[in-house]
Formats: sequence, C-alpha cells, structure tokens
Amino acid sequence: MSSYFYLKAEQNAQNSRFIQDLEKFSNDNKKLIYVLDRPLTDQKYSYKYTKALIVLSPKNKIAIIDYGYTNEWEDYVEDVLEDVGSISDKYLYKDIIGRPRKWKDVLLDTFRLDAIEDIDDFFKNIELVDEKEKKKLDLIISLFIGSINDVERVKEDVPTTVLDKVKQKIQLFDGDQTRFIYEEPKSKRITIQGLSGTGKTELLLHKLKDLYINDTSSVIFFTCHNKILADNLKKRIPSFFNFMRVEQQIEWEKRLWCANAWGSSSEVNSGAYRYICGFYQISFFRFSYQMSFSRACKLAIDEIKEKHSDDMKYAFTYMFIDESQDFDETFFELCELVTEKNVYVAGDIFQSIFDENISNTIEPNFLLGKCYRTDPKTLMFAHALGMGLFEKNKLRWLEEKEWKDCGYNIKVEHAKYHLSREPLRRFEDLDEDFESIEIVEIEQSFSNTIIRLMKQIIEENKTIQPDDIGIILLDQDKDVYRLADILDVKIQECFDWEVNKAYETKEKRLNSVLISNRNNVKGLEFPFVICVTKKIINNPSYRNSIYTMLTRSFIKSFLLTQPKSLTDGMIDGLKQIVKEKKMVIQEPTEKEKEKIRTRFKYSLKKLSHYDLMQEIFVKLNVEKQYHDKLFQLTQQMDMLESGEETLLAFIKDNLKYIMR
Amino acid sequence: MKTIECKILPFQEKNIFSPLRNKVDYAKLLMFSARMLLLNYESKMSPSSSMKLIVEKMNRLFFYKKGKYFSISFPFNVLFDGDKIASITSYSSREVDFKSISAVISILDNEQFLKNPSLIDFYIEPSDTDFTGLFLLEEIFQFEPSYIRYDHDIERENGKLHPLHHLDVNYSMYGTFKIGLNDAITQQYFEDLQDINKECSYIVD
Repeated sequence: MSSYFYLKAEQNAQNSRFIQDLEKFSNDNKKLIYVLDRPLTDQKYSYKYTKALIVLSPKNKIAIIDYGYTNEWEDYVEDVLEDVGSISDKYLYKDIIGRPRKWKDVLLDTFRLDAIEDIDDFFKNIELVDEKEKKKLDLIISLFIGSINDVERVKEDVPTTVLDKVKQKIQLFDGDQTRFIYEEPKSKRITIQGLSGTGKTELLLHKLKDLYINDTSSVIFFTCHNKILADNLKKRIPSFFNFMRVEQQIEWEKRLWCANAWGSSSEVNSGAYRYICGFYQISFFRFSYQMSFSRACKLAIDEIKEKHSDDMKYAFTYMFIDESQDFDETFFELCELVTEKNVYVAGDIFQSIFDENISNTIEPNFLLGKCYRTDPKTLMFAHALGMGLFEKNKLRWLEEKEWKDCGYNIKVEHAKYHLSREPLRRFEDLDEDFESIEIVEIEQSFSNTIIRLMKQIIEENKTIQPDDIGIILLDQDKDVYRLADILDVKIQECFDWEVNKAYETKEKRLNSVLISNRNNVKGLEFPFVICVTKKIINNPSYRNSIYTMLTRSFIKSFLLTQPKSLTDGMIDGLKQIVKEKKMVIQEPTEKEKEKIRTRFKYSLKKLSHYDLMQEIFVKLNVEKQYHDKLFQLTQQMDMLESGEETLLAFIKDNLKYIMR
Repeated sequence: MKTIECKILPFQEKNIFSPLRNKVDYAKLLMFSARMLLLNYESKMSPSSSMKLIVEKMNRLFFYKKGKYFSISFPFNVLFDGDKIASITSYSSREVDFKSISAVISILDNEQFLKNPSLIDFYIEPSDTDFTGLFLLEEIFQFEPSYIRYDHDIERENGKLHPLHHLDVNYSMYGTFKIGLNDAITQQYFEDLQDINKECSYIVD
C-alpha cells in the first residue's frame, strides 16, 4: 500500500471493487485518501451498522457511503457526526469549525454505493472550492484520523504570506504513518525507518500516548542515545500529552521513564541500561575506552540470563527507542529481553549518507519515504551536494533500491538516472517554482552578508519571529566561533533580537535567533536556514553535515559561501532541480563505482577518531594503560579530525614521554 | 602599562552588570569580558558604560557605569600586537579564545551544573562536554576574584553604617565589608587605588 492510501474498514465482496478503484485513483492522482468505517481517534468509537464507508480526502467533501441500504443507515451517519463533534470539542476545534449540524451541509455528502458509477465523477462531485472550507475540512479529517494539530498554530483565518501558509498548514498523517499508529504489531520489535524529517519521533509520541492511556497497567521506557535529546523528549512528552488532552497524570518513574540509554551509577533512573541493571540487580559499567555501550549491553544480557533463568520478570511492558542508528544490535536485544510486549525502534535510514548498507538486509516494518520537513527541491540538492553527484568524481553512489528507500522515483535512460521526489502537501500552497534553496556568495564579509540576508528575509516576511531563522556554521575551524560572536553582537545591534548560541545553551529558545555549529541542531527545524561554509571540501563527515544542515529548513535554505566555491556542475544541477523538479545524473561506470567504493571504505575509517586511534594502538603495540592519556592528548591538541598519518606520527613521537 | 578600553553596548550590560555573588558569576563575567576584548567590535552605538583592561604589575578589569565602578582580577596572560590583543592564555597556557570561552559558558549554563556545580561529575559522565572548557574552568575556579566596587547609593544611605560613597570589598555574604569614602571618587582615583605602582591610600578614622 502506498503512502497516499489508507484503509481501515472491512473489505468485502460488496465494497472491494470500489475500494480498489479508490486506491488506484489515489495513487494515479497522488491524492491522499482515507477509507474508514469509524473515527480512529481515541479508539473508542464503534457502531452497530457496519455496511458503510467514510471516504476522506483533502479538498473534497467527506463522503459517507452506504452499501447496506437499510433504515439504520441514517442513525449511523448521525452517530458518526455526533462523535466527531465530541472529538472536536475535546481538542478545542469547535470554535473554528463549529458544530457538525452547521458544517455537515457544506462539508459532507452521503451516497449509495450502487449509485456511484465513475470515480472521477464521484470526486468532481464532492470537490470544494472555498479556501476557508478546505481548511475546515482538513481540520475535520485530522479529527477522524487523530492527526491533531495545535489550534493555536493553525489558527482560524486562511493565511496569506508564504511563511504563515507553511507554518499554519494543517498536517495530516499519510497512509504509512496512520498504519504505524493504528495497526496491531505483528512482531515483538517494530522498526520504523526514514530519512530525518519524516516525522518518526512524532509518531513514537502518538504511539506512546496510545499505549499509555489504553493499556493502563503498562510500564514504559522511552530512550535514545544522546542525553540532550533525551532531556528534550522528557520535556516534550508532557506538553504532547497536554496537547492531546490526555486526562491521566504522567506517573514519572513509576509507569513512564524518559532518559538516555546509558545513565550514571549514582542515579538508578538516569538511563535505560542503568535502570535495567538496578531492576535485575546486575553489575553496571560506566563508559571507558575499554567499555563500549555495546559491550556493557552484552554483559547485561548474559548476566540477566544467568541470574534469572527461572524467574524472569519483565522490567517494562513497552520500550521506545529513538535515533536507533546510534545503537547496535546488542542494545535492541537487551531491550527485547526485558520488555514484555513490544519494542518500538525508530531511526534514520542512514545516520550518514556515507553509511555502508543503506537498505538493510532486515526490512523495517515501516519505511517512511516522504520527508515532510523540507521542500523536495532542497532535499534533492542537499543529497546531490552531500554525495557529490554533480561532480566528476562522485563521493557516493546508491543502488536502485537504495534510491527508492530514500523516497526517490527513478527512471533510468541510457545510463542516466532521472531522480525526482513526490510533491508534499505541506508546500502545495506555494508557487511551484518557489526557490526553496539559494546559493549566496559573500560580499565583503560573512557577517555582513548574513545580516543582509536576514534583512531581506524580514522584509519579505512581515510576520517573522527571531526563532524562525537558524544560522548554521558548517566549518569546524575556530573561526566559526569568532563569526558566531560577531553575529551575536551585530544581530542585537541591527534587529534588537536575542541570539541563542546552541553550542552554549544546548537547546532551542523562543524568541531568539539560533546560531549553531554542526553538532547541536539535531531534531531542529526552521522556516529559514542560513548555512555558512568557506568552501566545499571532500571530507565525508563534512559532506554529510552539509546535507543534514541544508535540510533543516521548511521554507528556504541559503547556502552562503565564498565566491567560486561551487562548481558549474553544482549550479547547473540546482537550476535543473528548481526548473524541472528532478536531477539527471550519469550513472558511474562499474570501474568508477569500484573506485567510489574503495575511496569510500577508506574514508569510512576516518569517520571515527576512536576507531582510528584503536587501529594505531594495535599497529604500534601501545599498552592499554596508555590509551586514555593519548586520547586526551589528541583531544587537547584539537586533533579529532586529523587523518591516520598525522595521528600515527603524533602518537609515535609522544609515546616515549608517556611510557616512562 | 597597557590599557585597552571597550564600549559596553546596551544589550551587553545584562551580562556585565548583573550582581556578582559567587565564583560562577565571576567565571562568567571573566569569559564575557575576554570575549569582548578579543572581539574588539566597533559599534556605531554610543553606549553609557565601558570596560577597561589594565595590564601592568596588576592585571585587572575595570567596569564603569554611571554611579557604579567595579573591578575584578583578570588572571590571564595577554599578548599584545601593537594596541590590539593578539591572544589571551591562562597561566598554564590554555588558550582563551572564542571556542574555549563558549565551552566554559556552556558548562556554567548547564542545568546539571547549576544543580550541582561539580566539575568532576562532568569529567566522569559520558557527555558531549568539551574538555578544553572543563580544564580552563577548573583553572579559573582557583583564581582570586579580587572584587572591589565603588558604590554611590542614595536610597540605602544610612550614616556611617552605609555611607553615601563607599567601597565594597569582596562579594560573598560572609566576606564582604565596606570602606566609607568622604566624597565621590573619579575613575582615575578608583584605578590608582588599586595600582601597586602608585602610592597607597590611607584610612585613618
């Protein structure tokens, strides 16, 4: 099933033809269609009458279709309306959409199935024209499928500016997302994968809410690798629950935990692994260069199995793991061991576009192809720049299945790949040729050009707020910190806006312009992003950053660089993306592919300073007791990005002083 | 003697003139000041407050705002290139640059640190803390802040207990004391008072 179509109703001899037609129509026209027999929200509605279908599709009236042809049908329609009315009450939509008896005349039609002859005509019949009504309809659909939008955000009026149109766009789950939330799990571990920006964390939160309120004795642990992200999630859960009108109190550290994966010895609730160690009374290990997380998990699994072979209790009913690409298999095994029902695992399809196996051997249960954050044009250019697709020597090449898993439509003609992406609902109100990405060459200085760009953005978007702009400094030298501090002063001086340097505060702050280096923007998105780099370099981790940073915007990304940093190929490639909504890339020859693979494998080693150092230790026969000291030395000498040769020479030179 | 003067822009005042109550405040002020010195930003604004670094036998920062002067130690080596600052390093030669300043501030603003200001916890727990900041901050915490403030406070004047013009020496509740002044003092007097190459001032009641 595609992401355009969602079915949750009994398919039977009477309706299956119609349902198939709807599915075909939705795929042919790239039109979101939901076919239900009841509102999905809150999972508590059921009806005696079962011979009816509710067909929902943006920009079209709600169609309720009868194929039982008895008197009970009318009660069914009334009941559905009453229930949607009460849902709209609960989520405070009533002020905007009004009561069902008011909107049903404009936004709802009923049909007999045997009277529908042609699907195209059917949809023509129920088409809406008025923008205000379309907006109301989107809100009502969101109530049916539980894709609740913040009324404060979407507001009542039809927005007029580009910024407000995108900001206030009503978001609806697509077919894949709805399936994830409402489908019964088929295995203990449920994996969900997609590019960043496909809405994975949001889906986890919906599922969490669902399980927390419907399985009232459940004990749930929500975790991820990074502590900042975990802190962030912990703050997000209560506000999400409030927003979803969850009436139950959150019983922190009784029924629900949210912490990073490791934790510290002093506090049992500080991490998933830490809690598990406490629960099963097994040894807890803290991080050292000798103790990786994977190893700690492996030891925990063995110890639990050994100590609790005959009285195995479960620590949790469910577990949620976000950013699963930060873990390896052992942690998931540990989680499965200690969890009674399901472990939900969400992660990026690749942490880096330079990951070796993008399409896993194990298929995820849910693969989210659509990136909802960024305009497809921005995403395509970001991928192309990251992988060096517009360059003579490409840095990365994906195979056909991998392109597909990343959400691309592919057409291969004469060894040329035509790559394109589906348009997104979020941006459908914008002009098709809207330039969602722009390359800007600096004039006198980086800081002055950034100020000029900001002035331009403010000029074009009167309702803009400081936190609508993110400035991301891609380079890793010390100059970026100087630039950030200059910008800090200039922005306050010119706009009287507060500045938030994310690498200091480690959080997003309201009402201030965010400036960050490449390490502190995980999970953030902005209407406008200004990415700053002196020149495009070949280092894989840099290329991966440029890809991730450019895709942080949901209206427009600016790539700010020194003159002549981008090749003609890159500039022409961007032109084609904007004009034709696709990129045409020459497939590398087998020989070239081989070259890319070798270079790529070599560069992979460079990705981790830790692994590189380990290799050198083995080569030079360095005893374990000196490892920590040498690590610290390289850290202090700013050598975390140095290559193998440099590090090898450095360690050789210093070893004699350390081994006294 | 080397002196460097910086304007303090209105939006920078909150970082500079917030009350100093402990070493964390001192460390922050030191970092904000070092950043301003390194930045040497020429603004078109005409501010009402300023900062001055005097490097001689003493190494001190002076802050001036209407009716309020104060000074703290600036325990770093400052390398000059003509009239400009080329670099600032700590006495154990750790670089005080834009990057390490941010690293220090990120620790000082960290929630966990505010709850329990222990650098050891930062060191042993796995996190993404920048170690350069940790080492620099450790050094800063060992310095003597040498805080002294001139106050002109009409509202709280109370005879000889709280003279209209006075100096506050030290900042902690348990260590601070006042020295009364017979009259208002100038910035020059305030600087000379602390200049060990100039003649001493005397107090005889």
